[in-house]
Amino acid sequence: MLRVVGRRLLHAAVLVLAVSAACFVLAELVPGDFLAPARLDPRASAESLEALRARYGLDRPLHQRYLSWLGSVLRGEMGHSLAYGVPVAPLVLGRAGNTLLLSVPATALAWLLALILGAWGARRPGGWGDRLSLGLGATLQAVPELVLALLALLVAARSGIFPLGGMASLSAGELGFWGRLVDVLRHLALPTLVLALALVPVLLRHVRAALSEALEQSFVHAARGHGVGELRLLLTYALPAAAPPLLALFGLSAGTLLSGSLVVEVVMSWPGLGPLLLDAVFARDLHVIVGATLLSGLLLVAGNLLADLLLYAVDPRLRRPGATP
Amino acid sequence: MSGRRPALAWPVAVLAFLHLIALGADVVAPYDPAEQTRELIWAPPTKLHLVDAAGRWHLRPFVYRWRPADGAPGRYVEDTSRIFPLRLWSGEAGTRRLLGVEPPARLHLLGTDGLGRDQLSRLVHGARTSLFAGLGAALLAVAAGLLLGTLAGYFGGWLDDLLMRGSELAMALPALYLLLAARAFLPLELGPAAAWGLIVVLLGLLGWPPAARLVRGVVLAARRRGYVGAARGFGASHVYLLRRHLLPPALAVGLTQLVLLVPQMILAEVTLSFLGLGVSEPTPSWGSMLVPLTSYPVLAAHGWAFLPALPLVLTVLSYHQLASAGRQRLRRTA
Amino acid sequence: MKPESAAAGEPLVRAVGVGKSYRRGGREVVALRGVDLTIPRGATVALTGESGAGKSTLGRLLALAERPSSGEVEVAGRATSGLRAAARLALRRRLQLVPQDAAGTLSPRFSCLQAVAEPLAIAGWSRRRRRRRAAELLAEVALPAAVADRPALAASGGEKRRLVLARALACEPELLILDETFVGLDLSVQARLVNLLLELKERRRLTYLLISHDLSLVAHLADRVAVLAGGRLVEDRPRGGPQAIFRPLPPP
Repeated sequence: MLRVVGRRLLHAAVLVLAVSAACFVLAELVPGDFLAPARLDPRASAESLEALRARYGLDRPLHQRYLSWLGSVLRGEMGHSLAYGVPVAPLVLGRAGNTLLLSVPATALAWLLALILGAWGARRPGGWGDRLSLGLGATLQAVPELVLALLALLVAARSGIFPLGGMASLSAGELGFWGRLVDVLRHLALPTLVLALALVPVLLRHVRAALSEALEQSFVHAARGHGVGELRLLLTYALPAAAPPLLALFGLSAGTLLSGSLVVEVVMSWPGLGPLLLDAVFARDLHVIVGATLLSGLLLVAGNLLADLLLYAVDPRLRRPGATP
Repeated sequence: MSGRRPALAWPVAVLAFLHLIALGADVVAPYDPAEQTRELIWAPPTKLHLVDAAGRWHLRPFVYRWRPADGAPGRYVEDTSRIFPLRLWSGEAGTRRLLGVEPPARLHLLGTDGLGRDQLSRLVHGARTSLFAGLGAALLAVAAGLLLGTLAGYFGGWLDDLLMRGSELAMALPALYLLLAARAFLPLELGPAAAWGLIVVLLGLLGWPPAARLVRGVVLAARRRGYVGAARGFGASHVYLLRRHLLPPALAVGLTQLVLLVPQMILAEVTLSFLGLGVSEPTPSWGSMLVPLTSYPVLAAHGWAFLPALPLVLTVLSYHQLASAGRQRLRRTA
Repeated sequence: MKPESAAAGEPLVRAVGVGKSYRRGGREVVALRGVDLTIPRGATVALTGESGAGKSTLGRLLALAERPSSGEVEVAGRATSGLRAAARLALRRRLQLVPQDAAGTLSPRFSCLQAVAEPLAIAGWSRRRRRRRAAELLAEVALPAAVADRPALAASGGEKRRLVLARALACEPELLILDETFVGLDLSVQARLVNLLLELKERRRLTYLLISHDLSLVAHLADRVAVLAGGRLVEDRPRGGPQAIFRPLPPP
């Protein structure tokens, strides 16, 4: 148990060091930095550019910049954003919070849909319910999240029920707590749905396979013989038996979720990590690029850790002393 | 899964059709994809007629010109004063096109975009950008995966450790974040050809880890087979073993990986171009063609702006079908 | 390949104080310790013992398929531990191991002819010469020409043994190490294979190391019997009649 947590933490530390070092080295090798647009400005003199370089610390050698960045990580700042003029950590953490606000409900919704559809299909493999849910999955899988998000925008634009992207109305500041909550929820609805639908096909395939395998186990047949109802059979017998592979999938799909979230955030102007990274790429705001990338990696590690812990909680075999997951 | 085997014919036919169109874009596209018609901004798809305004039937399909509607800026109505028959293989020698109408009428079967460019022409040329970027990147990734995975699986040791840790690191970031972070350190302003090449190489270089890990597993398993040890006993060199015994199973895995990877790579190129980090204007890509859809007026009024998404969905669907059909057939022969 | 001057009876392969240990699951497993064994040219030496006694390991060491952890394997009086990889590989062709699991050593992608021709392909023979020689080899092990183009793995158990035998012969070996070659075959098939081996030995002046736990077979074929127990050589003597062999083995 502790070993699992320790391994993931070590993984995270290695990730931070390797990714940040790679970013600094790559940034050094490639021409162009934050001041590149200013250099094209005829009004900027050579002296003032030099002064700016010195102020931003861009004139120091690579290792000094990297070490001072590492120092600021230890101080909890993760460097300094040149474009926003603030430390990176609060900026990135706030945006990561928004990404979670979008992706956690989306994950929950996706799993709910996948479990319902998967159970429906697994109950009678080859039946019309199964074929319908398989067909739905295959169709959804062929529609990229980019297209799904644009379709959602179309729905929002044509129907007028949902806001056209963003996270809050312009007038949100005048609303009370409940008003603002409803406002955010209204903005959250479409992006969550899009992200969930993008995730469903992969989950559905595995849920169906795991559940139909679990339903074939002899103890499930025995329980059915004892007169246990279909729903209870599914929920208390088959689902726990199917849980371990599905939890592993939960960890694996975290990366797909975050990638999908990036697209949805950008298309629907949701102020998450994705748009932050994209803007930083265009502005060559190195510390924000590093910070946002690292945080996406850390979210992935956290997702995997959560999957480990859930697996540990669900699977009694792992709790035996000496067992290794 | 169910006993019926997934169809192989239609995905192959659809993909062959799309790739042929992309190859023949110069002839298939009615116009130059960069040609702008300022009088036809966001013009709806040109309608094909058989019956003219006077109720007379024509054997050859014809079109009317769009003209701006009176008093309604941005709207178009058909100018029924003159008919323009559809012409096959029209134009002057050297610049002949598959389909066309005589100027001053214009044939915009999928409408025009915000600069008055023909959407069909841009879609056909965009297919060239996007389909072949995906194919090229996937080929590159699988080739790198085959090479690295085979070496790691065959020789093991520090090389294996290095490659496996490296691939783990590359897979420790969400794919799109990794892609954007890597793209951040490459020049932003590039010519179309250079940008296309850059995207292909970048996607190829970032895409090898899953393929390499699979190939490594297959090679590792094959290396332990009795016939490899036996061949060694006949004095076989490393090169012989790799070529004769280890590469064939690795290639089979590589091929299935290729089919799975191509749609992912196409989507990656489309996404990058959509985000403005891929192939730049005026060269069309299926990704950059979707950009207008993020603006409210377009969404609200110009439904045909969505048409570029259709071939993308069709392509991804066909590749998925091809992958599952191929997988099933490989499993039968194995 | 075969030095004609070599007289029968002088040592072809010799193990001198050979030991072998593996690491398995972090633990050291000793398979062989301090084994001395000489295989004279032209002899049929039987190597017997309980399963797990280290018979197959010793066979692999003598075929130069693995290196000993300690001691030395000599071939024709010369030490092999200092040999360079290429020289070692060339030497291995002269000492052919016919392994226990014949089916496992046949590639699923090869036809019977391709399987037999593989050593020739490795030696760089042309396609035409390869095919002709492989056909001769198939005939030499009494396999019908009709099997040539069938997948190697589709052959029956007895045919597979003949196939791997023919393939080993393609290397023009001096020593054949036959590891449990007769296990799992019908008696009639066994008998024909034994006769084939005797015939081949006569014709090609081969030396055999016969790894088997089948004592009746050992009694029939071998002129020298070595017994392994717990990784040690506990007995090594000329065949002295059945009673010597059917003596109970010393406790490991």
